[in-house]
Amino acid sequence: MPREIDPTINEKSFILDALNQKLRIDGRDLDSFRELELNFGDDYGLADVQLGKTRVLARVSAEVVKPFTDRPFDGIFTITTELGPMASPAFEPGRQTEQEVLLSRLIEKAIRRSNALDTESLCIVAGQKCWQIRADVHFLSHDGALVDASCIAVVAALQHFRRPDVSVEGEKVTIHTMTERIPVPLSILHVPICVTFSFYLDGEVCLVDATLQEEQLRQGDMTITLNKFGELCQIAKAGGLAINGLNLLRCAKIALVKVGEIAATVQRRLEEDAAARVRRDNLLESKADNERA
Amino acid sequence: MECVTCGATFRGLRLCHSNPTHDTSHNRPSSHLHKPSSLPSTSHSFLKKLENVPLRNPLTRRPPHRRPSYVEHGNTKVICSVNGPIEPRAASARNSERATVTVDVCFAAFSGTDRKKRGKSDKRVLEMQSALSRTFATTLLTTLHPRSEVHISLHILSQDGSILATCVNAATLALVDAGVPMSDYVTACTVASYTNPDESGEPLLDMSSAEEMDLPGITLATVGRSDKISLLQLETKVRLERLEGMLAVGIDGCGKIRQLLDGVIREHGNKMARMGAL
Repeated sequence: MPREIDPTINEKSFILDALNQKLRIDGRDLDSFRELELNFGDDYGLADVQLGKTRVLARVSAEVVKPFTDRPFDGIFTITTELGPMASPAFEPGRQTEQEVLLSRLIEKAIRRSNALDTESLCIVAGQKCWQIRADVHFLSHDGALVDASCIAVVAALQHFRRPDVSVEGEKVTIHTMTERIPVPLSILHVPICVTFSFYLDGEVCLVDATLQEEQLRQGDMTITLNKFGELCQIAKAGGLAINGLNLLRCAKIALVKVGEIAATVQRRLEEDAAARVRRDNLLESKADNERA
Repeated sequence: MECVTCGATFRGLRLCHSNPTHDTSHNRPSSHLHKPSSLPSTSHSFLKKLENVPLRNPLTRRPPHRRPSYVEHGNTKVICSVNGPIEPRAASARNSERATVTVDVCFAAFSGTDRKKRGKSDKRVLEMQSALSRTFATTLLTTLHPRSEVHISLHILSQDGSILATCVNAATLALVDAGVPMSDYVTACTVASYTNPDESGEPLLDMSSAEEMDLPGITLATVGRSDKISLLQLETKVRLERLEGMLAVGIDGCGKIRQLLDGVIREHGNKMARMGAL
């Protein structure tokens, strides 16, 4: 089984010594994220998130399916994650490792179970037809904070996505193409953002957005998911170093600030992309070789 | 049972160690209880004990690592046996610096309201196993037994909320009895946040499964008498301001459970000493 190369003893003592003096080797503050870069594709629903050297791509797609029999009024929303060798040579294709299960459970709890996407709005004909929204997360490069990056990618892609408009007349359902009618955005109820904390030196030091090397050296970790309204969606601290309750509360308060910043960045990028899209569409319509109406 | 500081109460809590009996499972007629095939022999003899089988030879004791513990939180019932430190069964569990902690969680098919078999690859089960093994890996003094494995096997016999918390308590009890060196008890409980329409409300200690369905709640585990939290899980949406109150009640609750566990362990130790088993 391939493994990530452990940091050398020199690297380890250097990083930990630096942390003891409240310094990180990339010069960041203890509670600051790396530069977040968020780009959208030409199609709707493609988000590319870069957090330092970590890069995650999320693709949202929709198709019409039959709803589950026990939930006839709900659409279906699935998130799939797969850690492949593209992200890091330590990940094997095909086999589900413990890390992968935990990651997918975390994202699932953060986004799906917190009802970020209103599945009732995806119903077309009760019990017969509904939209299935599928978010595929691809990990392109792994340098720590995979959960944080993939959560941002999925919520950004969901907000960016537009599904074709549908009209229902009696039993007849028509799906209008993207050119025929303006496609509709999904109904997003809130935007959950994950913040992962790493604990060092018996809980003295707590880092936000650890790099891969810092992750390998940490004694414990905790992922908090919040939205900008101050609602906790999920907390996962599965073992690791035991931390004082007050420190945990302090982490939650830091997380709330970070979530506000990240949500604002995502919102700004979405608006910029929408503006660029309008400019491009106007340009296409005003071309001289277009057919005259 | 009432918590002194917050007044919150637990449901009926029962903790026990199995008696230091001789393993008689081979020469007994098969029991009428339906037993899933995956239950180890240790649990068989324990199930028989529940049927009031008289102790055969109280002075012979089974090796310490084969004695299961049994914990009830209301209707949630968990039996746990610890095996180890043993030679690692898989090469991947061998670490030259410390012992590895592996956990198996098995939901009995009859444990829930409807009979269903939960596979080993169920994501929820895998998540529980990893949370438990990481919780105990930091509390056990694993560096004392390098290149070995401590295997914790948990069987959920009946589910009624707070399953993870019950598992933590059962595992602590079994680990102490098995004599695996650990720095302190790890005890766990759940807390729900209940809000009245006028935004007031007290946190509720120890959720049942009906409460788990409707109320947001946390599962937390603390180490020893300190208020240090080693495990914290929240899966439903709740206001951030509510967290502080829930943590305070939870930490008190864990302290209370620690006292209960301590009582059971001391009583059991005294009994064993009286029987001459020590």
